[in-house]
Amino acid sequence: MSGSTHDELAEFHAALARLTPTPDGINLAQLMYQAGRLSAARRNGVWRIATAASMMLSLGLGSMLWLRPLPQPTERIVQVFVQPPAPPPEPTPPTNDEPTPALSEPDLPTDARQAGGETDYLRLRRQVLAHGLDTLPPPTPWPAAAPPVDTNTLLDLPKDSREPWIRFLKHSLQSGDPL
Amino acid sequence: MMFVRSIPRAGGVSPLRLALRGLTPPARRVSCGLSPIVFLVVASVASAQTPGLEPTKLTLSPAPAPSPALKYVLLPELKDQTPGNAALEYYRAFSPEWWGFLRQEKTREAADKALETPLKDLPRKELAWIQTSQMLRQVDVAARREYVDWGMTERLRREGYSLLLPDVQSLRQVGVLLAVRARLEIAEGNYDKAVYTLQTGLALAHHTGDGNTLIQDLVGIALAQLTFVQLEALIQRPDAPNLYWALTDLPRPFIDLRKALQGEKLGLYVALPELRDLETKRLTPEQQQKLLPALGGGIELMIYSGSKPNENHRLSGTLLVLRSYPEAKKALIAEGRKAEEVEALPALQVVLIHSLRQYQRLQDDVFKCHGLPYWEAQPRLAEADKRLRQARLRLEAMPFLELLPAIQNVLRASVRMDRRIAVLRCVEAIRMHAAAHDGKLPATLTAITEAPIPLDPATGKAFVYRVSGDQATLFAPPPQGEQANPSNAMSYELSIRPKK
Repeated sequence: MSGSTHDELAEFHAALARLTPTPDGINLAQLMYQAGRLSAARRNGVWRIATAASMMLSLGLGSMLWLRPLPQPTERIVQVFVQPPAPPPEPTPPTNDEPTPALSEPDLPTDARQAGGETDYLRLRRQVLAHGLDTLPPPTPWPAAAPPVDTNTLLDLPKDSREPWIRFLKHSLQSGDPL
Repeated sequence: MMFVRSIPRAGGVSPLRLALRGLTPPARRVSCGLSPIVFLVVASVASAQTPGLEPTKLTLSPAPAPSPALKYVLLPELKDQTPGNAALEYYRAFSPEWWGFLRQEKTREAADKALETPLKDLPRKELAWIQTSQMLRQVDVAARREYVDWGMTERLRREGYSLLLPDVQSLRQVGVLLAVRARLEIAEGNYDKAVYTLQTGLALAHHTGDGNTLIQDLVGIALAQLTFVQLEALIQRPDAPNLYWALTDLPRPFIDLRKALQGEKLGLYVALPELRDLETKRLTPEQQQKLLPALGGGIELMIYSGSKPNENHRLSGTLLVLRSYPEAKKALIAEGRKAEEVEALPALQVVLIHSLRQYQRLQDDVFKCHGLPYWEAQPRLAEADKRLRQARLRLEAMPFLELLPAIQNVLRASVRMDRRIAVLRCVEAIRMHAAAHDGKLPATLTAITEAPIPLDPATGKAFVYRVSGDQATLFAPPPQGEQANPSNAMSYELSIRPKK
């Protein structure tokens, strides 16, 4: 061997000597596994994307199904038109020629509905056909009944009358049985 | 197993990964790929179950037909009726002396609550007053009068659309109290009394629906439906009689809309009496002054005496006459009137005659459908509805089109009730079959030979019937083209009570 070759080898030997050997070395099994896995990942790329997309879609549909709100009762706002009260009729000035009658019919409102605030047939029909029977105005509840007037007082009868016809009349009024 | 291999120790790995690790790669792909499809199927099945259409569950006992077949009837028969007008007796039932207590809020709430309370939990002592109520006894008398005449025709002719109906809502309350009485009688096992109360309820419904207004028809239908709910409670009792022939004996349709539709036609001529002679007499200047704002959109104001239309309505009426006169003139001549006669009439009258004829055509296109079976009426009503919308856009039949009632809802309510009667007949036929076949449900409706099975009055076809184990489902599907909801479909789940 020549001197230069010997120097190159010595340098190479020194370079190798400077390197620190790894404690574990090469894990052949792990290496083969990773190689195989990488090759499989390249082949399965499309499936991975499809799988991920399917999972996302499944989760989305599942949450929509889970979180679907329960049917809520819907409130309906029904507008009931209430006619404004009719203006009072203008009083007619008395004439001197015609005698004023002692008794006269009271002046009725122009539209009798307005007095009671009730809804006429046309509006009621519209409401009911559009929104159902529950839009019918409920019957006005009456306040708690006052103590009933004594029948004797009501009919101005003697208090403890033993007359059969009076007892029969009282019984009929109280029971509701026909006379 | 080909799709699963041994799973390594978890060591902090997520359950999803664990689950996936347990599968072979092909199985993983298949399962992940199929999962959205599975969810889609589940979602579509869930949505197809029509949320909101809860089935009515009936637990029944077998029961043969009674002997004689019409031992039980659901409307008072002639032998039980007394001469006279039922309306007078119903109005007597409204005596203030009997209603002081009944019109209180707490009484109404107690009655409404009793309708929702299961029979076994009814507070019988607190509700005992209903069974002795003189007001309801008066209604029993009224329901057994030979005829009813509410006197509505004359009132309609006088008052037209201004008519008030203060009594209809109170009749509904009477229906509620009768229903509670029926429930108490069923709970106590007094079936004969319960049938008597059901007769009163259905007679009240039938009488109410015999009025000349659509609202009375709707209230009659509501009263009948309330009574049928109690009938369903009755037939579920262990020893309840079979009511197939009683249900079959009911009139069809139960509430006839004919009178009410004719009553609707009266309203317009009461509101605008000038229209009665529109085709034959020339309008006076005063009549024209009155009708011009009506044409311009003020017709509702015209209906109510004392109300004055404003200048906007007059202006709109004038513009409408200017716009519509040429077409109206042409149409009247084409329909047979002489040209010189038409030209001699005021322009307003020509337009009104043409509009009124258009309105009558559109009205009859809708009203004529009530006489048809529902499955034949439905497409024609849809076409009529389309023509109405087009008419509104083209300002045809003005201003009368505003007064046309939407009778589709009334027809639907009426057929819904007839449907319920038909479904209940099927249920009773099933009870008859079970009584003859050792308590077993029929495999199909055609397997029932003990009584004829009615067709669905809404579709003209058989009801949908399926048996699954010990349960059967009886389904009345929505009419074609409609999505199922509680107003157009019915669902019953039936089971036969096992023998003790």
